[in-house]
Amino acid sequence: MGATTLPRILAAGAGVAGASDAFGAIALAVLVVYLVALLGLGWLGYKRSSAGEEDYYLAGRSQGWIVNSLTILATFFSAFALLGAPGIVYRDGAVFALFALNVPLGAVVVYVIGTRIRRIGCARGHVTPGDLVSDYYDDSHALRILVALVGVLYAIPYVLIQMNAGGIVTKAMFPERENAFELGSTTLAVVTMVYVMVGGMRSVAWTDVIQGSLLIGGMLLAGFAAVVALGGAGGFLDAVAQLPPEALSAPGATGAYPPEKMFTSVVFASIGSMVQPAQWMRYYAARSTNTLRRSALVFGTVLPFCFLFGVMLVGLGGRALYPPSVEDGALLPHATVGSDFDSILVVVLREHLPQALGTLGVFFAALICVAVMAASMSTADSNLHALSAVFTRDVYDRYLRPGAGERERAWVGRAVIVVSTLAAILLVTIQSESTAFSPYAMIVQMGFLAIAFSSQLLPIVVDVLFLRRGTRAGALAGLVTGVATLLAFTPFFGMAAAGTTTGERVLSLVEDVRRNVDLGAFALVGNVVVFVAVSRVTRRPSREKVEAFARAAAPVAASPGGDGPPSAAPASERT
Amino acid sequence: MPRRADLGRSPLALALAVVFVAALVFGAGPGLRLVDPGPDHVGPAPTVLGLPIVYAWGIAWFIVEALVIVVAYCFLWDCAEEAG
Repeated sequence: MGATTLPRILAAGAGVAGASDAFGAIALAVLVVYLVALLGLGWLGYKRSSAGEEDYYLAGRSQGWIVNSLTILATFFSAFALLGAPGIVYRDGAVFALFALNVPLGAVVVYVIGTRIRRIGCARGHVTPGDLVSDYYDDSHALRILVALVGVLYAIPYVLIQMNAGGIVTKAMFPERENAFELGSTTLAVVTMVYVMVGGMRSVAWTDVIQGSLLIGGMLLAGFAAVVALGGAGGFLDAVAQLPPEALSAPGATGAYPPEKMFTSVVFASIGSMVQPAQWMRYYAARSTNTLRRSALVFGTVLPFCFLFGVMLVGLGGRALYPPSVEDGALLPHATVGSDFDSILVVVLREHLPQALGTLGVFFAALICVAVMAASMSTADSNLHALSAVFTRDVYDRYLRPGAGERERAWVGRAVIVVSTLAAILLVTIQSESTAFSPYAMIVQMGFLAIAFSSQLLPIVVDVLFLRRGTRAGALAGLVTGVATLLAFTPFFGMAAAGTTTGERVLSLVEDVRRNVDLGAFALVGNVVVFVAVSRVTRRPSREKVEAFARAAAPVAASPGGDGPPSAAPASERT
Repeated sequence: MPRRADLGRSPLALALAVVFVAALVFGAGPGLRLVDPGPDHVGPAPTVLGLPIVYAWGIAWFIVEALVIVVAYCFLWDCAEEAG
């Protein structure tokens, strides 16, 4: 989750806590402590690391359950958790509570799919999703590249959006400071770049422990602020009961969430998010099956609880405090909130928390602002790290310099992180300077489809891990169909199709689909149909390969020999 | 007593899968229409313990999903500590 309208988030909140000196000083102190802690953990990660790709990208496949569960959690929830989600509840009302039901499904994916990915990855030396997919389907170069492309389509918008969010949060925290946005986004980007670069997965995961804890605390604290603002639990419930019917029912005040769309979104948001490259690599990094089992439990229970009793309270309380208005048929935020629904969290904090709790309230408000930044950084770092792995393993090592050693590849990965970060800073910084052509805005639009793109990997994942009846040609044709279908929903297709009769008809169909079902689910139908059809008439992978994957994916007790490790492939077979 | 790793297709696994799918379909899917007052509802919105019914519906089905996960964690999911 996380592709949201972040570009303008917090713009209305650019005066948090009335820009009081106390808030500025406390916020600065909290922020400095937080950033220094991140750099310290990055350095510790570097000191604990050993040379080699597996250590840099997967922390030596040794993550324990506390680190693993919090890094999965922090990667899953971006700034969307504290900004976008309360904004949607504020706009559409109680129906968005049902979106929390996607998280337990994500937990099931962590165990059911994650443990198999981990077993196969350990046995055959995989590091990226492309390693596993290409390995199974007869070393398919086309599939490796396509899977890498899906990963890149997911990671780039996420990195960019999160860094932009860092700038906006900083501007909200220090409105009196000139260039606060640029300073904030650059600082966030550089600090993230440094600890990802020096410590790899180990640093990313350790910092995610801090960031995940802040995220959980921030969500609950924000909900508490909303209840306090309405005079306690009784006042809150009374105020919410008075909301208009459209805010207390489906499909929500803007009609955005009919049950069918909510259902498909819940199913595919979680599955798509849990098979994206950064999460996939966390399955490889887990120490054991038991690690992922515990991670699934924490993820599936703690996170939705925070959503239902944190984020929901902010959105509903905000709606009672600052009712939106309807002008020319369009729902608009209350004047105090500004032009963006996503600012509701900041407005509730700014207007109510310091009043209710005094200096402690100011401290909490600062802490929640830092939690928003933590949410951004925890998603940005994971995706930067995954981007580095995907480029190095799936492109550099395969096609640019096949003979490169592990150390060289690790350094190339670091270079990818530096270049990606600098490009992101450049795009975020110059975004407002051109109204005619804004690459940033277009990439953000692509971000709305990020989960839909990654959910196109699902048929391949199910086939490799469970069924093993598909073929290389089928997997390729299905994935191409799914990705091509989704490209029709991008701004690029809109620009190309507008103006022609056929193009306008297709665009009209696209809009109908967008309103009624999740786009990932829509594209997946074509993906699966083509995958199955082509697989029926083409050649399956060799029997040896199918059996090797079946053995590697099987639970330990089902393996001959009982509790030993899953049957490892011979060294010559490791990718 | 069967080992956890052998329970993947046991009656317990099947029961949990059915309950979990039901929680998704009833919670976030078409089952929502059973309780949804709709945008044209007249009069005070129905509530459960003071919470709007759609919100309470989400909480209730989350509890069901969470219980399924806890039961699976305790009795079904393999807890092998095998090394990579």
